[in-house]
Amino acid sequence: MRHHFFCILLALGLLTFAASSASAQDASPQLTKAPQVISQAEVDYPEASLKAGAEGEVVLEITVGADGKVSAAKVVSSPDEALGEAARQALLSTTFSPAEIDGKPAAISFQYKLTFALPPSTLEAKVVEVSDGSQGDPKILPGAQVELLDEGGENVLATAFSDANGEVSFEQVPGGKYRLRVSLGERPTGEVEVKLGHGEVVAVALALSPPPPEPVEEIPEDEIVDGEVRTTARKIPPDVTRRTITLEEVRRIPGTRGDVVRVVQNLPGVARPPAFSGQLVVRGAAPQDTRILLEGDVVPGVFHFLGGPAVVQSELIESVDFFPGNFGVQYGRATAGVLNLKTRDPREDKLHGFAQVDLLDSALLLEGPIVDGLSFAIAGRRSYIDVLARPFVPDDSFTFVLPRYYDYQGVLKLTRFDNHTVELLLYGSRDALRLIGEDENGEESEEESFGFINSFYRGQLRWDWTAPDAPMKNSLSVSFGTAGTRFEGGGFVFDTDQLSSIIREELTIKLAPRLDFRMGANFEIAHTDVEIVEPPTYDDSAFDSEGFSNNAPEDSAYPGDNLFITSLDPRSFVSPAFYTDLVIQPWKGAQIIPGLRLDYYGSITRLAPAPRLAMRQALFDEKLTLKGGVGLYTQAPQSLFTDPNFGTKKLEEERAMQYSLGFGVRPLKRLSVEIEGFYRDMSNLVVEDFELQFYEDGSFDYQFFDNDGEGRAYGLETLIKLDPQEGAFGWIAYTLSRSERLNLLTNEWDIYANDQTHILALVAGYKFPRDIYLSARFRVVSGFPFTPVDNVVYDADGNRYEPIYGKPNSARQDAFRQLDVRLEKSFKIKRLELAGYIDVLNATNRRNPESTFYTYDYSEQRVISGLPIIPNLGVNGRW
Amino acid sequence: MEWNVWMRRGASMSVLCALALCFCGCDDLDPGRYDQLDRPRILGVKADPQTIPADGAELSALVWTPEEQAISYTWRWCPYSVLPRDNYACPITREVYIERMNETLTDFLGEEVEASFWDVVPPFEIGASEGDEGLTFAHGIDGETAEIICFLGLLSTVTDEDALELQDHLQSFQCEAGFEIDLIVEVEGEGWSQVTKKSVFVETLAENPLRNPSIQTIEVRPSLNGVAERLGWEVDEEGEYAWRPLEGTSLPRGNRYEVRAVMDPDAVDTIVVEEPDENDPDAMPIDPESLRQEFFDFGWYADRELLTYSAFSGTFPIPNEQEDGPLLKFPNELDLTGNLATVCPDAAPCQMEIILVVRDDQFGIDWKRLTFEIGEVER
Repeated sequence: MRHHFFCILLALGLLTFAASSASAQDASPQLTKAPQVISQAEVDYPEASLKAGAEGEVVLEITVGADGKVSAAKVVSSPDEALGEAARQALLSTTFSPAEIDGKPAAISFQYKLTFALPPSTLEAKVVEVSDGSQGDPKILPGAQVELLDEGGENVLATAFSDANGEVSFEQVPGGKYRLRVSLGERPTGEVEVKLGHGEVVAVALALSPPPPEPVEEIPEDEIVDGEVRTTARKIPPDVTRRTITLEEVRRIPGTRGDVVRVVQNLPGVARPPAFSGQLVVRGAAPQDTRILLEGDVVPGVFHFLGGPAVVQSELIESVDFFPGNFGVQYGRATAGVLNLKTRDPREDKLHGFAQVDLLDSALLLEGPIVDGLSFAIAGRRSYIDVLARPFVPDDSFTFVLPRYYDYQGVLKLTRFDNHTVELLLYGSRDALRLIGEDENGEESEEESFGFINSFYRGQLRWDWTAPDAPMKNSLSVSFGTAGTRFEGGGFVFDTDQLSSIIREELTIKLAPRLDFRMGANFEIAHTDVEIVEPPTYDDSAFDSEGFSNNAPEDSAYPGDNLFITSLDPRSFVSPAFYTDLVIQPWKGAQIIPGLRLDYYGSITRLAPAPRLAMRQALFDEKLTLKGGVGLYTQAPQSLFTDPNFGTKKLEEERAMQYSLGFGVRPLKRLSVEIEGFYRDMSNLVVEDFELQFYEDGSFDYQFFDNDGEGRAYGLETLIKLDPQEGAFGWIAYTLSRSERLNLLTNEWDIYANDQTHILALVAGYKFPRDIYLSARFRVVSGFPFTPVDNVVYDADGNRYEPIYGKPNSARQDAFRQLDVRLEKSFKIKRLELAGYIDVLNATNRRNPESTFYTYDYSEQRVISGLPIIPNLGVNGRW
Repeated sequence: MEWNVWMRRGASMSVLCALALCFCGCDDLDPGRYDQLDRPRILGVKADPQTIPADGAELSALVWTPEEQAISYTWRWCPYSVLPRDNYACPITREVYIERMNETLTDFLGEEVEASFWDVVPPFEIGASEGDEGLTFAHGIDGETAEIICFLGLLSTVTDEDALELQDHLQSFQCEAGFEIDLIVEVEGEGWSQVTKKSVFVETLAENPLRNPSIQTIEVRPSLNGVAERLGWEVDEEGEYAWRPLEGTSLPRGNRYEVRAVMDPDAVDTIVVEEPDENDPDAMPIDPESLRQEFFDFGWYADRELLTYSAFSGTFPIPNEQEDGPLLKFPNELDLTGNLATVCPDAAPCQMEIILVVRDDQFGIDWKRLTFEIGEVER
């Protein structure tokens, strides 16, 4: 590459000369005319010097003859050798006007200084649109705003707009690292890092994702096929809907520890769960009425114990589809809501990682390509309360606590074959809590110890296929794994193991431009083993007449060979389901989705149809959307209710008829408002009712439960959301609702235990200069309902006080109010992005009531308060 | 600062935060000490004898109040089980009860019986008493009649469709052992009142009527210095331990004392079991040792927080081979070694009361009160 000699400064200030002739010396000659440059030679900036970034002054000693030509040149000093040589060669080709000594042309020697400055570069960019699955030339985007930022991304150095060819150029840009930020309308902003050399013309392509699809005209595929009434798909990628909660927001919502699942608990329709519980209480329903899925697979437990973090790392989650009601036919076996987590694809460009360390646990994620078209991601987390606690537990303690949990996820994705994608997902979790008791000799004692273990290990193989020549796609997945729960205490052991598999198949075909068809099936297969180990009956011969304290027998009162072990009959079920729906767009802005789902519940041998209908109408240029739906939802009774030993055989499925009606409006560009009313009419609920059940064949059995229960829930949900931009985000979620159950004794409607009349959540975050993020969450929620004690009597036989309860759940604890604050500072060290944070839970240290209990004689009611102020320090880094 | 010191401090902070996260609010979980006598309490109700003969039994209630009060008792009985949700009200009046029994008996016999037959059923209101005075409940029902009435009660629940409303109130109806009824007593003190109930048996023709347990005494002995001394006991002329009252004895501070119930083995009930069918190969033989043993529940109460164990510490069987001597069961501990300023704010000596209530598994009950002084440290 040829470079121009940008700047030569002739400096003769330091001029010294010497006449080359002896006569001049003898007669003390005088310089009467200095030499002048007549023709200046061009200098090629040496490549080596460009690469080395060398610039500065080169001083040479040159001799100009009487003819004005340079007869000799010698480098005196130079920033580097190449520059000195380039200057020397240039001067040897330079012509001067001859110097005159005593009025006559004469040769002369003097020092000559050349100054070299590194040449600037030109940055040329072309703005195009990229989207998943797009083929052919990318779409050119004129009119995009392109900002040239310094390396830290804090200062805007220049701004330009792309021309009709999508091109934009920044000239005279010194070499170095910069960032280019590009934005265009509703499209998510893009940003790339650029490294410029010296004197280069660098061309880059700036890719922008398509703009967010409009509700009707360009409804995202998965929203259409979901057929849900309320587009509550809280997708993480910033390019799907305007109701998105981005991962960036999730990370900075205080009190959630960056947990994407827990953020759902701050959305409308979701009640505040009790402290230390990871329950998801949707629209006043029981937690088991909401199904939690990972890529369509049933997650045995979405949170670690005591309300810990979700068992899947948020960094690996692409989106959380949360449906508080009226969800599509592809979901079933839940009468309230559905939460479906979707993992994201591993990154394919190079190796990336994420690590987080805080006071409770540490997490690590690695991802990257293996070969072209095959990428991986692995992630893991482990708590270390047990490790940290052990040295600080006093030696003389009777018991100590060793809680611990871990989880892992692994993704292997194959994309090298056109139209086919194959993904293997492995994930698991284990929670263990153990209270170790000591016997009278100070040794660990099984009889005195208590333990709890909850674990699952699962995998999923998924194949997605898109027809190359037809608007059709198919998805097939097979999930499999084990789940176990073990409780042991005082010699008693309760152990359950479950093997289960879920096979899901779904085919979607676009029959006409305004008509989509979908059909699918899923098979749930489960095998459960339960083992109960009971301690032996009391051996009174171990005690003597003096009581047990003085003469304890040598042999234990719990001889091991007397253990009573019960293995309940293993239970195996196959529960298939079939579903189909249509997405019809009969006129502009309208969408009608009729659907039908058929569930067969193996545990109760019943077939349950569930017709559903959803509608949507966009008005006023998509600024207002009306939506509504009605549908039947069913679920099997909990397994304990149908257990042949403890339950009732002939139970039916629980049912809920769901109705919803609402609208969404966008009064400002970044502000959206959603208001939705709902009503859920529950029937066939399982309730306790002991009686002898006789059947037509003459057989009979004990019936502990029946399906006489009824319930209802209704309310209004509001979400006012500020879309995230420039580090600011926030929303207000408010739910006004009532959840009730029919009291079969009084035939009156009682408040249900999960009812919370008012649920208000305010979430806001802002990015300050120097990459400082401050965010806060404030919640005000009605207190949990409880049944008051109206009177107390004393049972002289049982030696206990017997409460006389009032109307069920007719009293309520004080309201819950809590402010959580998070402060984060991030740093960038080359590729590594580091962040340190402090997440303060309950910043005002308010004693929020979680539960109440009575003193032994019910004379006084006492309150169990929730978490006090808890600062959680942590640091994370990603690269 | 040393690196490991920082590490330990960091780890300590982590543990504290984690434990705070897991176990916050634990200090709020105190349900109060059941064994602590600090407010007016009914601690037990007794019918003596427990199986009430026709000529009556003495009814009494053990009530503790912080200071001496005038206390009155109102006694009732009910042939059905009374429930807390009804505030222990009898679900039926005497008139309706007699009407039901009469209908059942008439249906059973196929002929009317004389109305005067039912005069044997005493009024449900037994009477009232005050202070420490007991009340005699002489129901006047002989054993044979009691068994008939008991049987009619069982029969009426099967034949009478209206009996559904009484389903929750059914007694055990083990008429051969006794006719189970409930006693209800309303206790009224100065500014407080409480109601309680107790199940007892009207005597039938059963051979082994139930008996209340019997506490012979409360034994107290220092537990720090072995078994050198048994306070309250002395060796009599025949060289055997004999009980002397402890009242007025001063227990020196600075010691731990073991307190025990000394039970009368004669009060252990004999269990009547059906003879196994000789023709049934699966019939279990009777374990002779099981015929005479009973589970006792020992409840200790004190007016100062110096007992180690609370009331619900357990029930234990009394093996029958202990018939020949006193039964010492379920020791508690009286700890006088600590700073007693909070529990004994007055200058020594201060007075303390311990109450022991023993229940058996057939609704039998006995109690004993022990008052003593906590004295100076023994030199």
